Amino acid sequence: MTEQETLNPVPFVLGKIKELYLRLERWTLDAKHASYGVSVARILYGLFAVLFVLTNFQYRNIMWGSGAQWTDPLRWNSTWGFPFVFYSTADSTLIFTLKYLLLGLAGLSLMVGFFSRTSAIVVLYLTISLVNLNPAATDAQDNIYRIMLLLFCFTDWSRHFSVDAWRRNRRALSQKPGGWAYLRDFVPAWIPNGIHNIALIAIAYQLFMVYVIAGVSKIAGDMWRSGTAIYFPLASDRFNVWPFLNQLLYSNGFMVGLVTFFSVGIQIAFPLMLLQRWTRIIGLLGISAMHIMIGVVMGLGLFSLAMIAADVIFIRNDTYQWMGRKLRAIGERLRIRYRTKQIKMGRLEADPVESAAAPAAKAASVKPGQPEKALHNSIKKR
Amino acid sequence: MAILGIVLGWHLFATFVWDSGNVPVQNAVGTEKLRPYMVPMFNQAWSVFAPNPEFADARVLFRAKLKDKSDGKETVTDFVNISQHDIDNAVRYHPIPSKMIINSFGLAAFYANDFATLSAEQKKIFGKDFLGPSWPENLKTTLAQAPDAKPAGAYTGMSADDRSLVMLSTNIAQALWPEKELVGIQTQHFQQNVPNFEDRGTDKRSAPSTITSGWRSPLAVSGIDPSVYQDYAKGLPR
Repeated sequence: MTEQETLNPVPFVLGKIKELYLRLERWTLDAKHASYGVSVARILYGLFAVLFVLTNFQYRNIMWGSGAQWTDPLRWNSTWGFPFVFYSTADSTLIFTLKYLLLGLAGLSLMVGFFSRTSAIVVLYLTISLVNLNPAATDAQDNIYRIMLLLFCFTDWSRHFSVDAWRRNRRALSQKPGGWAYLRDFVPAWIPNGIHNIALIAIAYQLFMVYVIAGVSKIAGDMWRSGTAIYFPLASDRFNVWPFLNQLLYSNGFMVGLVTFFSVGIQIAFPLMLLQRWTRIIGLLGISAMHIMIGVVMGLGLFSLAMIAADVIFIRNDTYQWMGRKLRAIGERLRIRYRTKQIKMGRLEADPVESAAAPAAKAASVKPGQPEKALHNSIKKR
Repeated sequence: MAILGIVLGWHLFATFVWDSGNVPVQNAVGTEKLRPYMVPMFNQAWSVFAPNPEFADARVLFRAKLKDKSDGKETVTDFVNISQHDIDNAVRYHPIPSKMIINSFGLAAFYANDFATLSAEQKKIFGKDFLGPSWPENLKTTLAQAPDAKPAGAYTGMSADDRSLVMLSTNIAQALWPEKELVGIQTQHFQQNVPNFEDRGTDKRSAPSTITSGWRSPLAVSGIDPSVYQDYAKGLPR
């Protein structure tokens, strides 16, 4: 700062504010962030819809379908109505089953990324229409799935691992624009970038609200403060999916205390842990461990899936790419090992052309260095 | 950029105020003003298992009054435990339990919570018999006319829960005893705390509490697919 600036700090402060604003603007408008994370989230939210349909199939008619007229009086104070009236307890068993399976189909379409945004909107509409028919069977799982799915609809979550991406690449290679490509030329890039990134911020904020409110509100409870809280749901029938496992967990007082304090601590600390790389890794592992535990032990698998599916946006693109390279290398290693075994057993003949081309192909497909060496070693050992 | 910022800022602010519980900012803004934006799409509450987790097992049950079609003799069945049936068939040993995990528990929660909002006289009325085809309306009217009646919301919920559980019970009873004429349904809510932490792994529980309705005429749904409840009732004691 110059002497003049020291005397009058206003321009300096305004300059800093302007610099911060420009950084924020660049972050928001220049490129879409967490593109791999939202793509993985799409797969998991599609999987959620498929699992929802499968796990409820046996009881679909009693909860929402042709045998669910008993739920009609319970909707006396429902806040839902038109247009979410696709399902009706007046539907016959056949019609309801076909409508019900449509949700699974839309979920599958979302999972593979086929018309991703349209599929997401269809899944959202069908899910809301279905679950709100029966107020007795709605819970936090429905809330988080609905809110997150709505927010993710504003992101570009078909960019990776999707049929849409594959079709886009094919069109680009053939230089034949199709679909919305014509329209895209007229829309400046900062608009879709901005909508995507603003939706990302809203998703992250929603997660923080869930974790912080859930964590802080527990501090007021004497059972949480005394470290015994987790025992009570584990011992109640509603969350007792595997009685022997639950009993094993709560029979050890130390374990009950540890899990109780860990649950509160990780929920409150999670947003802060995201600020630094190593604490972020610990935070993500910790929160995932908590979700996996309540998913497996307490039968809240779909709720856990809905939360983990949103948490994956905090994993950086570089990490996904690194995981992709690792998986490809493992796949290649397994393929070579399998072929070598088959050749040794006389089931396959060594292809001289392929053998000659293999080292070059390997070098091109994996990172230079150890993986290539490891592949050669694995063949030599056999 | 400014429009996106305003939209985001509003959403973050509304979500914070809606979720934050009873804090000064929520009182200052007033949740009613946020309701048109938050409800129903962004409606949410995250005080899960807080301030303390639930520590009671709840059940909904019913029993039926049956008339023999040949000699006209009436019998009363044992209580049928709907919630226990759901636990055994849809919760235990299911890696991803179906929504049945909360179906009858949700109904049990409505039943107990709405009963708690009734006045002393209304609770007595609930225990009386209401028969005939228009009994749900009669029950609601009688509850409204109780000398110590509370505002309509307090008993409308209970009337709806009772009617709903009688409808569900009627469907199950018809599947269990198709050869008999169903003449009455009585519903019950049963609740018992899990053992204290010090007594975990034992059967030491406090005495259960029950809420039992009077007898109601069954509420059959015309044209219902009988196979739906025949499949559901498999394994229930007849």
